Amino acid sequence: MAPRLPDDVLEAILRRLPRRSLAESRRVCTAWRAAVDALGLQRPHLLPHAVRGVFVNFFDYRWPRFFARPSPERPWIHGNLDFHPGEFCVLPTTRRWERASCPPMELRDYVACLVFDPAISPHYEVFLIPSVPEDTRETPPPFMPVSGDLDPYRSMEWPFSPCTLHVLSSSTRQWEARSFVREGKAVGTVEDVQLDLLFCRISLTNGTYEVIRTPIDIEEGKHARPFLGKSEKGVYFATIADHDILRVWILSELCGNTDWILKIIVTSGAQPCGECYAA
Amino acid sequence: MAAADSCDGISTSGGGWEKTVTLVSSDDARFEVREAAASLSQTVRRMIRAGGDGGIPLPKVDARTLSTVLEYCNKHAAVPAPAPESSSAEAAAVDLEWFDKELMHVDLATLCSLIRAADYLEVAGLLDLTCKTVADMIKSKTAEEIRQMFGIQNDFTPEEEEQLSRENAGVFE
Repeated sequence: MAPRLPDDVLEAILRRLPRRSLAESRRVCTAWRAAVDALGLQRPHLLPHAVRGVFVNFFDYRWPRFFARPSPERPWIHGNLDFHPGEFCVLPTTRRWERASCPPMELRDYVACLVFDPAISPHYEVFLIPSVPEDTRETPPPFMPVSGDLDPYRSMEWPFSPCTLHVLSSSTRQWEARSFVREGKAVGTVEDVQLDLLFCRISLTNGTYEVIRTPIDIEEGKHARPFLGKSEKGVYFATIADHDILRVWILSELCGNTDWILKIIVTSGAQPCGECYAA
Repeated sequence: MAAADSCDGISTSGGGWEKTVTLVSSDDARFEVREAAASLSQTVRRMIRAGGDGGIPLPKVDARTLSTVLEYCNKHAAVPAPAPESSSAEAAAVDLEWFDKELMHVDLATLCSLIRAADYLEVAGLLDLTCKTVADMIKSKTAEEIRQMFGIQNDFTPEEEEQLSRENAGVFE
């Protein structure tokens, strides 16, 4: 029988294990579980490391469809995603759907965004991102893209600073209001939102958000399908124009200035049938 | 006292051009080793600098384990540094790899002794090699098989077991 390994030696061995084996090593005993958790790799065993299938959003279906090889061992993910208005169903590491409590009643126009990173926590949050407030004036002036006068509605800062977002936390199962303060030089206005394609990067750790303009305007965005993503190189932005021209930009962030650098242009005859993302 | 000359463990042999040191295992076996090889161990290197009488004592390593460690050190210290990308460099690397592989053909108890020795003696290359070897043995095993391998008791409560199963259900295969 092999004698017990010193803690630092056990750590040295665990560091050389692939992720799948780390999950199994956590089940050996409490000391091994503590050693795996102390590696500072932050729950790497929970990260997926193979593509099990793809979700496809067809244009004429309301819910996404999941495509995978049929298997009797996979009962939890299926094509008919059982969404209901006011409730959220997510698939965190347990691969089960959960119903969330209803969002606050005073909120009407919003987009719900799931914030979930199994490398950080098994818990998730749902952020409600409010839509641009409506012009409540009885006779709003006709919309002119280039206007000399400053229209109070269109020149209104948007998003507000501080901007209050309603957040649902899966650990507390409660909604709470969280404030974020604008950071950086760029300020968004209602007119910007109507003319430019821009997005906000929200920092959850220090309660700030930053307005970042995309390299295309809203007109182009109507024809080119924009996609915002993150890779190890940072934030990237991609469009597919005319169904077959793919362009990818990478956000350069030097000395606090943000700039888009066009990295890839691909032209092909293939026509994507929907938005695909791996699960 | 920092001068290496004052250390009695260092003598000259083989025509007097290569320095050797004497290492003493926990069971009092004495090994005369080239200083270049012994210095792959950071622990020994520090002790050579500090100096001492009648060989360098290594009370945490037995003779059997120490001889394997020294086999590794002798082989790795003997490798000269040829020009990179030359064919001889490639051949030397292949030879060393083969040597390492052969050295790891031992049982788990021996491997564990080697890991502890490499850790104590601070022989980075050997520690890496041995840990990698054990990691490869663990890699494809279930928790129960690992427990049997190391003679570990399962000390989880049923609730903890259930929690672990739930968490592992999230591991995508």
